[in-house]
Amino acid sequence: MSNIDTPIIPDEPRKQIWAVGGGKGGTGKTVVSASIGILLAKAGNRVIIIDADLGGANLHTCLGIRHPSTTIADFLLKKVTSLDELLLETPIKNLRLISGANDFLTIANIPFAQKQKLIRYIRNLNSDYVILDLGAGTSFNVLDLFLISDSNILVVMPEPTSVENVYRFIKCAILRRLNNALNNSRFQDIFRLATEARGNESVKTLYDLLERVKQIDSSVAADLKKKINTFSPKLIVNQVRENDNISLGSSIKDITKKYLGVDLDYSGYIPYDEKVSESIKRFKPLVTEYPNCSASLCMNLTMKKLLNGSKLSDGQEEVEESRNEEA
Amino acid sequence: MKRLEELNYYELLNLDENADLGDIHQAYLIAVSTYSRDSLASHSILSEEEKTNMLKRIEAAYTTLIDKNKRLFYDKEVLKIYVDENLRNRNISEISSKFVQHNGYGFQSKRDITDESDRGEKNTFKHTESTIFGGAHLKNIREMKGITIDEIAQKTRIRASYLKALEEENFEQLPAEVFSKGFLKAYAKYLGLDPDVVIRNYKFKEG
Ligand SMILES: Nc1ncnc2c1ncn2[C@@H]1O[C@H](COP(=O)(O)OP(=O)(O)O)[C@@H](O)[C@H]1O
Ligand SMILES: [Mg+2]
Repeated sequence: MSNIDTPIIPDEPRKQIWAVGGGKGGTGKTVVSASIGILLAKAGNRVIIIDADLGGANLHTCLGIRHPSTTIADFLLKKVTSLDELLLETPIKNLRLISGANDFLTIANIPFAQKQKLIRYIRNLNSDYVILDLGAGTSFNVLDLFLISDSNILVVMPEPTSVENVYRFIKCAILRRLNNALNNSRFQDIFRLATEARGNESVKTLYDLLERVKQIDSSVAADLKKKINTFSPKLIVNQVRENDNISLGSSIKDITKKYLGVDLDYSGYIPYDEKVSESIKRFKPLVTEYPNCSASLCMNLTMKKLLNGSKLSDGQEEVEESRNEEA
Repeated sequence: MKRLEELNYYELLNLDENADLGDIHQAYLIAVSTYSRDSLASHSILSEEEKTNMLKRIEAAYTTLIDKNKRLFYDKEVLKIYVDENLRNRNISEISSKFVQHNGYGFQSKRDITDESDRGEKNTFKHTESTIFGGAHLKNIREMKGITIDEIAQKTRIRASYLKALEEENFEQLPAEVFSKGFLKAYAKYLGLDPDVVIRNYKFKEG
């Protein structure tokens, strides 16, 4: 088995795309994205961080940039021909930003072809890491950006609406992932049913979905099953105020596994910390301005877990072929 | 991916078949809080009835797994698996010295986190990790910063064994709380943490 003679040639390390999502706004996706980007850059990686929250862009603020000179809108409106032209230097070495737009554009209404082009260009960026700070909601465009990533990070906070949203987000993401993999109109009715199911019905439906696909084509069902098993988003619980909330991550993991069929990684929690809003008000990045505050320290610990568990998913999702959302 | 009805006791509690008593109890506590009436995690996704049913199953799983004979029977007759007893008992002596009573069941209150590496570490939050600025958390921070216990001991003139006991929340080995608080303050300060925040969150007693 072992081939001692053959020298081990390390693979050219592939660029990693990390997406930060989770549905609801205000949970801390942007703060977490910025911190992750900074910590990766400080560890010596070349990092590009993209504000993909079209309509609600504020990542630049968390990085200490008041008025970004270019935004992703310039790309979408074809004022520039590549994303490279949009790269802004940040106060942190090795970290560059593609700022989001705050005008009429919203992520949900970027046309299909535009999105495909955006994804293509994101994949071609020259960097060790690309971090995508996603906006709220579960529109196809948000989900697709989430799904092209190697590491899918979810940020939830201990609040009923946020928890509810994160389940919805996971469910929409898994169905979208399966749908993208399938891309076959034979199965569309089955998917429609699954999408409509709520709560406890969801997993039964996911299970039934596989069963029904199996009846039509068992090898397709096996592929889908693999797609579910290899989807392992990472969960961060942010704005924790009580110790009780820490086990919320374990509970969400349990329920997601049992009721949605998806195996989450619980990567860590970040306490609620006044220093977070203070740093934003002062236009200073949290983890460099207050490296010893409890939020920053937990950010570091979480980062360690994210890196340890960053076994890559089974490759980036192909969305090129799937045009299902087009009417 | 399995139907809910098909989950066995281990799967129900997210346990390994080699789980020891400490693991089982910890998993049980989390499971109960997950499906309790006012649980934040399940409120939007499960009905009251579904939660009650789940709690019943959790209770059944727990009472079986925590009882050596019932568990053996379950493994053998229901699951038809053979598990090496030694694997489960490997730190029983260590557990027994730290046993505390809770609901009439003995369990390991403080996990020895030094053996973290040889367990299925992925995602299992240790009991001691579930406190903001609990001992395990402080230890993580210290290690992350590359600071040794001895270094702190030297600089603060606090005995290394006390610092270690703070991290392990091993209260029997610590002097009276007023003194220990002083140690914790110095320790926190050395790590660059806000001593008052740490003191406020660290729990000197069970509960
Ligand atoms: N750990 C935290 N402690 C205190 N406040 C926080 C924390 N994380 C986020 N916030 C606050 O919540 C607000 C929303 O965070 P943000 O990252 O913009 O959310 P999102 O990107 O998910 O909409 C921020 O303005 C920040 O002040
Ligand atoms: Mg945001």
